[in-house]
Amino acid sequence: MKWMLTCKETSEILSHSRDSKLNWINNLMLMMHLSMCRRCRKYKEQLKTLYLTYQKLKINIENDPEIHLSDEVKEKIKKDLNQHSKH
Amino acid sequence: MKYSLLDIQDWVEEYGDTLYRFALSRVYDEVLAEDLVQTTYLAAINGLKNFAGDSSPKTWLFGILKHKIIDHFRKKKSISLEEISNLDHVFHASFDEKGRWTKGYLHWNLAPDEILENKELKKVLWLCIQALPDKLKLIFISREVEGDRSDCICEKYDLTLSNFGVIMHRLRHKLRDCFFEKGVSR
Repeated sequence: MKWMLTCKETSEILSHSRDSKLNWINNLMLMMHLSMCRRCRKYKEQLKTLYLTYQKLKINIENDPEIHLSDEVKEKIKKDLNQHSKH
Repeated sequence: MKYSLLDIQDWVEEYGDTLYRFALSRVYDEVLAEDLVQTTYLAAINGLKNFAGDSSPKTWLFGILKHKIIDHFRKKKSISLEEISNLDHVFHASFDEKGRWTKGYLHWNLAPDEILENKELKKVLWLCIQALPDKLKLIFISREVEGDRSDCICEKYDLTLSNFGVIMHRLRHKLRDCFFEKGVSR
C-alpha cells in the first residue's frame, strides 16, 4: 500500500471530491498530501474559484438585458408560427 | 382557457429573450440558442391543444426548451476517443514522469475575488467553455454549473461512473489551463 500521493494523483482526487464523497482512505491520503504541498493547495483553490466563476457567469447571462434575440429573429419565429398553424 | 396563434406570437415578445438567455447559458452558442428557441415555439404551437393551462405559459415554454436542449445533444454522436485523448494530453503535459507539477503549475496573478468580479475574465471563460466539444460541454455544464447529480448524468449519457470522473477531471484541468493562458497569466 502506497501512502503518498503524487501531485498528479492528487489533482484527480481533488476533482473526484467535487463530484462524490471520497472514501476515508483517499480522504486521508489527500489531506496528508495537501498539508505538505503548496502547489496542490493552490490547485484546489483554483478549481474552487473557477467553479464560483462558472456560477456567476451563468447568472450574468440569464439576467443580462443586453443579451436578447434580434427583432429579425423574433419576426421570423412569428412568421414561421403563422405558416405552421395553417397546416 | 384556450390559447391561439396570436397568444403564442405574443409570447415570442414576452418570453423570447428570457428563453434565449436560458438556452445560451446552457449551450454557449448564439446560433444554436436561437434555433432552440425557434424550435421551442414551433413545438408549442403543435402542442397547444394539449396545453391546458395548468402551469403558466412561461413555465410550459421553459419545459419544452429544456427538452429541446437535451434532444439536441442526444442526437450528437457519442464522445470520440480523439476528444478524450486531446483532453488527456493537456493533463499529462502538466506533470513530469514522477507525477510532479511541471510548468503546468500555474500562478494566477489575481486573487479569487478579483477574478469573480472581472467582466473581461468571464468573457475569457465563456470562450474557453464554448470551445469544448459539444457533448463534453453539456456534461460539464450539467455537473459543474447546474449541479446535476453524477449518477443521473451517467445514466443520461451512458457513461460509467469512473469514465465520468475522468472526463470531469480532464475538463476542469483543461479549462483551468485555457483560463490561465488567455486570462490570468499576464
